[in-house]
Amino acid sequence: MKGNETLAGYDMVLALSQNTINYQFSQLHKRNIIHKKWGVLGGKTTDDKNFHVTDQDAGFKQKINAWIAIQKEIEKARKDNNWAEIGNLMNRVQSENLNFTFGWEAVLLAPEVSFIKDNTKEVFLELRFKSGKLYYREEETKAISVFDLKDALYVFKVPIGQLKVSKENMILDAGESAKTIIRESGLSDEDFTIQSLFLNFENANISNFDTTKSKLPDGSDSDFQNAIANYFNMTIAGSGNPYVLGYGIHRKKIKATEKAMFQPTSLAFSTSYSNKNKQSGVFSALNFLMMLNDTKPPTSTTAGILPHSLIELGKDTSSSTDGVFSIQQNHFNTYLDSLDQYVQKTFTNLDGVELQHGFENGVMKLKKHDTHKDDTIDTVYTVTKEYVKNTDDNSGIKVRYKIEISIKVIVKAWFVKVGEMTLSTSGQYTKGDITSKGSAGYLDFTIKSGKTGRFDLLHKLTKPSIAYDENPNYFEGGFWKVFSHILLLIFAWVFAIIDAIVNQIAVDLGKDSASSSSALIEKLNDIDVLNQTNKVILPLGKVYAFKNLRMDTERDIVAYDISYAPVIEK
Amino acid sequence: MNVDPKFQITKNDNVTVDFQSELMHNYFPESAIKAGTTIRSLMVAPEQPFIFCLTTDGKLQGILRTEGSASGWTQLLFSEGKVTSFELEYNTEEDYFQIAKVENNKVWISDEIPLNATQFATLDKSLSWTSMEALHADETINKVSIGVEKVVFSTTSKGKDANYYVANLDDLTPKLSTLFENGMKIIQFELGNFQYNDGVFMLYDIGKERSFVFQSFPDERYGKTSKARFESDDDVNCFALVESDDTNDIVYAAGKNIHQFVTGIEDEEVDVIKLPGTFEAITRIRAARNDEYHSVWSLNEQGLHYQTNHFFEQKTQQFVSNQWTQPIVMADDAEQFCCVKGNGIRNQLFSINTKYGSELTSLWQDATTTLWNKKTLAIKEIDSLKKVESYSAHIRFRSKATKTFQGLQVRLSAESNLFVYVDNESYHIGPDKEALIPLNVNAEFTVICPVKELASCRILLNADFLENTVAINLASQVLEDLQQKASSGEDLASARKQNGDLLVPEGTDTNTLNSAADGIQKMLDAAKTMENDANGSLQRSSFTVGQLVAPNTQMRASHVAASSVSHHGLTLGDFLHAVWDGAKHAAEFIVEKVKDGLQFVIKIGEQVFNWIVKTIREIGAFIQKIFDAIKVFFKDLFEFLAFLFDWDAIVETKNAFKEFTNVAIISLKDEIKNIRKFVDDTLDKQIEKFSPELVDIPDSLGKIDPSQSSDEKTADPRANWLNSKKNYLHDSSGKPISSQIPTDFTDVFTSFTTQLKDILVKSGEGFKLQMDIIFDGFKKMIQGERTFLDFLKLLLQKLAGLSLFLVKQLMDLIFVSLDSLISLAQVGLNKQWEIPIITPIYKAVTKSNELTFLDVMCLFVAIPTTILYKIGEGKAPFGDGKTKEEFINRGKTIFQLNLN
Repeated sequence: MKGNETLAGYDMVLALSQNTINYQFSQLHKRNIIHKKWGVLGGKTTDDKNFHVTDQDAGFKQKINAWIAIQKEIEKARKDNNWAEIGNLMNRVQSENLNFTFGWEAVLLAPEVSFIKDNTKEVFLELRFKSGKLYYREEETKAISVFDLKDALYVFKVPIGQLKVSKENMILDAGESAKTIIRESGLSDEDFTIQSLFLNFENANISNFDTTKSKLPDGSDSDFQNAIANYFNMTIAGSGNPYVLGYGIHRKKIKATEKAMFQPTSLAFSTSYSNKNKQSGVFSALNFLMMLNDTKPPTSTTAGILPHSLIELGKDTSSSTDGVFSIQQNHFNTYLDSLDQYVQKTFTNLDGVELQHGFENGVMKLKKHDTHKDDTIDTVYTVTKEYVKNTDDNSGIKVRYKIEISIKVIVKAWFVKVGEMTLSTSGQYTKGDITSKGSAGYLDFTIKSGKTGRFDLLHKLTKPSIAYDENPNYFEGGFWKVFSHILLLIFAWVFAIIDAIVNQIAVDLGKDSASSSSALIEKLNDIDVLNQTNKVILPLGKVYAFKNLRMDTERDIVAYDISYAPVIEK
Repeated sequence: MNVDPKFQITKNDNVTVDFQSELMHNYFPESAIKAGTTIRSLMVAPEQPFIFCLTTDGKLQGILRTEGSASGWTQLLFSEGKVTSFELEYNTEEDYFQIAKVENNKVWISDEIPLNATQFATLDKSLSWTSMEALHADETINKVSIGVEKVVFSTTSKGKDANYYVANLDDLTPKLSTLFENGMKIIQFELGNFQYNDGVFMLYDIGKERSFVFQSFPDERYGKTSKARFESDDDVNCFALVESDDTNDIVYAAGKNIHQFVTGIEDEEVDVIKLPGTFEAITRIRAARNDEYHSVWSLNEQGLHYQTNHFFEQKTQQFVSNQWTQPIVMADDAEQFCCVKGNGIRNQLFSINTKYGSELTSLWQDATTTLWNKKTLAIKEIDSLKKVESYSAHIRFRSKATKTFQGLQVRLSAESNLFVYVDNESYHIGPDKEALIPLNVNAEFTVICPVKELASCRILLNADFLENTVAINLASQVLEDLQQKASSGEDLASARKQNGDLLVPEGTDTNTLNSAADGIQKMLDAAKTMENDANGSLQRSSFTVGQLVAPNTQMRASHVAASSVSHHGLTLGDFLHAVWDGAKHAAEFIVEKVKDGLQFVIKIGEQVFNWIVKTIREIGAFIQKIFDAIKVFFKDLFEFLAFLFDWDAIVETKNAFKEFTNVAIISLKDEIKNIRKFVDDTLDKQIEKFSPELVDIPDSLGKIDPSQSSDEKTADPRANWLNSKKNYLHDSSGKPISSQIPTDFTDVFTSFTTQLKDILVKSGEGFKLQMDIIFDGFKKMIQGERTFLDFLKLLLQKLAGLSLFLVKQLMDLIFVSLDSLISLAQVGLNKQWEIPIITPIYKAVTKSNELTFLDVMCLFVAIPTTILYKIGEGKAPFGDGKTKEEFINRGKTIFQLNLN
């Protein structure tokens, strides 16, 4: 399967579990960040305009009682056909500002979402009532119907599939000063918080409730719907209102991060229902669908419809994690390519080393030409990217470069070649100072998730060793004598290169690299991987923590387990 | 012993109090403590801290404050083997605590230990533990943290991410949790509450970075956790939690800076404050809270720093809580420390350093004066000796009434908080803290107050038999001496310490010395004004003190103070403890009498400080600081002003007494047949008269009395120096006195008792009681507490009731025993004897390696004799050899019964 299919046309997808969203809603609710109460009386003024009184009003309770009492009297008068009385009472209703049509006095539980099988564009949002009353006046001359809201449930669909956040939109909306910032940075981490997600539900058509899932007080269906619709129309109509679905909320402020290597530039939403292990809450996901580098999001009918919930790929699906983040392998390869560049640069930065060709099919060749009097020493370094694979416990990616060396020494006397000798990392013969058979060297890197979207690059270096390709004992004594002098130079020059590389990598990737300001670091600063080692590679690091980096070759993606862990800082 | 009140002294008996306080050396036992990885402490009762730390061999020990015990501290062991991690949790609501420890790769949880129903002194024996383990055998448990409801422990296993387990204290069934990042080893973690969720704060390394996060416990409905990551300007090395009133923990994270994170109420934002000060990497941080006031303690290579939002606003002389002080260095040699937990306790902590041996130090701020006190703790079961500089006050009560002080008590308190030793029992006294000192017949005691500076406050004596409170200014003698000896700059320049060295470093600027002398005199005036209350001479004075000379490297460099930051918000105590030394400028003083004390205005450079002081202690602290400014430190002042024991003369005297006694014992042996004859004769007469009391025993027998009461001398802590340590002979380790007597004596007693059996059978059990009294009397005589004559009288008196036939038999037995005892005495008395504290002191001062029973007895006599003789005569008693020889020879005839 191509990564493009796995991620349904998007470059990156962050899948957040249904349980996490609901848990986070419950936290907002528990901490009173979203309001727990609806207390409002809505009606019409004399000139037929909407007006309302909230429970912040000191006379709220009395108003309800007065309203109920007067409507009761009106109904009685009507029953008695006492029209004069009705007229008086109606005048009183107007003069005392009691012309209400509905009233809410309810305590709400935390809202919940649930994802729908075979529907990736809509989610159910459940408003859950804990207790309270709904007051409703069907007609001006009727008594108030009072409905008990205990355990009532109002479920409606939110069309999250229609939500789109793109840089262009944001730039359009933003003030002049913010435009450049957005243009340069892409989407901010803020867009990926629970609060933002919650705010996005604003687009819901609240009256479009689901009859099968909702539990309304007996006989209240249409009243309830009308009252809810009126409630929202009256109390929260208009943009800029922090009340979403009756819950007051603000966008959480997240401090701007440095731009990540994989910075999203557009955002859309879909869901993936999964009932793996019969735990739909754990495995069903809300997908943050992202594009990179200002690429236009896909527009096909299947765009955003993932074949499976990404959370099914989770390595750690315990309570500690909240979902899975995936990026198409070909994008991740950008990072791996920068590692190639880095290795290449560590070689070419050294004096006298000349690049024959960079990595082609995973092989890079370099050469070095040295002379000693009129003798020549030619060294070829062959660096092969042996593998890129997951660590044994699938918590990181291992990359191995093999270093092979072959050396050709030509000894001349009076410009006439008197003999030649080759040594290499595959040489089998030893003599004199060369005491062991040749062996290739290795540069091993392990990429692991670091903190706040950074990568941690661990390294291990195995030095190569060289030996004679032919049995040196066959050489005649005179040549050997000359050659043995040169051998010392080989040690000095050839291995100086390896030592320099080993040191270089240790310095670059070592603990102190960030603070070091050696000249070599300066030289290497333009190499991506180095920049990225101490910088942010994954986006959203201020909101999510990443864990267990691994490749999924079958699905052609790179995946992480993620946790919703917002950064708290000054 | 109960004494009938009618025989006890009362208010009407005109009791006089005789006292003298001297600055002098004293000695205390101390025990070695390892600077392990953790130290924790808890107030288990008012002013009774219980400290937990590891011993030198890695065991978990508890060190309990035990008021009125020898050292004031008792050590208890809480593990059999090495403990790799431990923690204690104090449940403030239900007032109990629990300990969790990692021992043997298991986590052990103690029972709940209620503060109000536990015998802490025997907690090591009564406490039981329950254990739990990790899921896999290859996991190494490396840390444990305990909360009120849950316990958490973390594990590492090779090449894998770290795990942690959470268990309810109810069932101790550990449930595995994972980190939400690839962290290999947890560095610090603690149970806590963040944004209204219980969970774990964790610090771990992830790759080359440090991660400080919180993860809640999973909720029941969704099985999910809340997570948060705390970021500050630099790597976090450690953190501390302080519970707020709304259950959220206030989080302090420390690296090179300290950040405070406070959860908003009904608000998503977390308030993050960066505290003032930039540090070298902080390795440990603790915080404490008393209502809205917080104290933060942080440790790094520069020492232990303190800062607080208990901000002292000089303008109003009031504390405010909305501002943090700059950090100041409180102890520059601490390696580990903890704040004392408990209700309402803020500025009291313990630190360990091993730079000079090993010291457990208590550092606390006195609420009255705000001055900081430092005190090295010592533990019972001593293994070494600590020499301390102290004010030692010998206090004696007298009355002409023929009644006794036995059974009465003196209530000892002080103007500010002090830790003192009274006859070598340790007590804490203060304005609201009294110690009850029981009196015996002698009605005297010695108060030893260890000091690190000249300053000390007045101690207060109250008793039912006293009409008024008696206040003793411990430092009065010293301050008086100072007034004479430091009256001018010239005086200071020429002043010499008792060893002959100059007090002030040579070449100190004359102007500086003049201003210092001026400052000292004015301070002394201020002290007098303070002591004599309202009518003092001082109204207002000003002077300048300081380093007019180039700053000397000897001065402690305060890294924080050097950075020219403002030190506003500090209390006087903070200032004197930490700021002054670092000040580079001269200080100008203005001292003025105000309504409720003395107002000090101090100007250092651009900074102006202003405090109202109310006790002499604070003035003493200033005087000390003035001396510090001319590089005369407490050590020098001590050598200048303190009473220094002339140990050579004392040892000389002791040796004379010792030889005298040895000679006397030999003469006693020669004389014993005469004595026996005398007794036989007496008994024969008694047979006729049946009244032993009538026998006239020659007075000459009573001449030698090493325990002679010092009734006729005035109170003097110097003369009473060793006497005040007499208690160590009896109860230092709780062993009965018999086991402390050289064993040879015991053998004789045993054989005596066996032979007595026959006689006892004949005389009945009542007689045995009498014999016990006789044995006791004999022991007392041997120990020098009773004269030989008194013993003989007692003997005869006690035996009088027996049938004379039996008495004769008995006397034969006694004399046989006495004969062998005396032979032994010379050997026994000269045998090495290990007495807590006295033996090490003796060894330390005489450079000798053994102390005999006889040495001890003789020292008791030699010290007061020598000191009083010297004070009176100006020279030591045995200065010339002839006197000594004559004295020793007198021993030969001392026991001769001059019956003719």
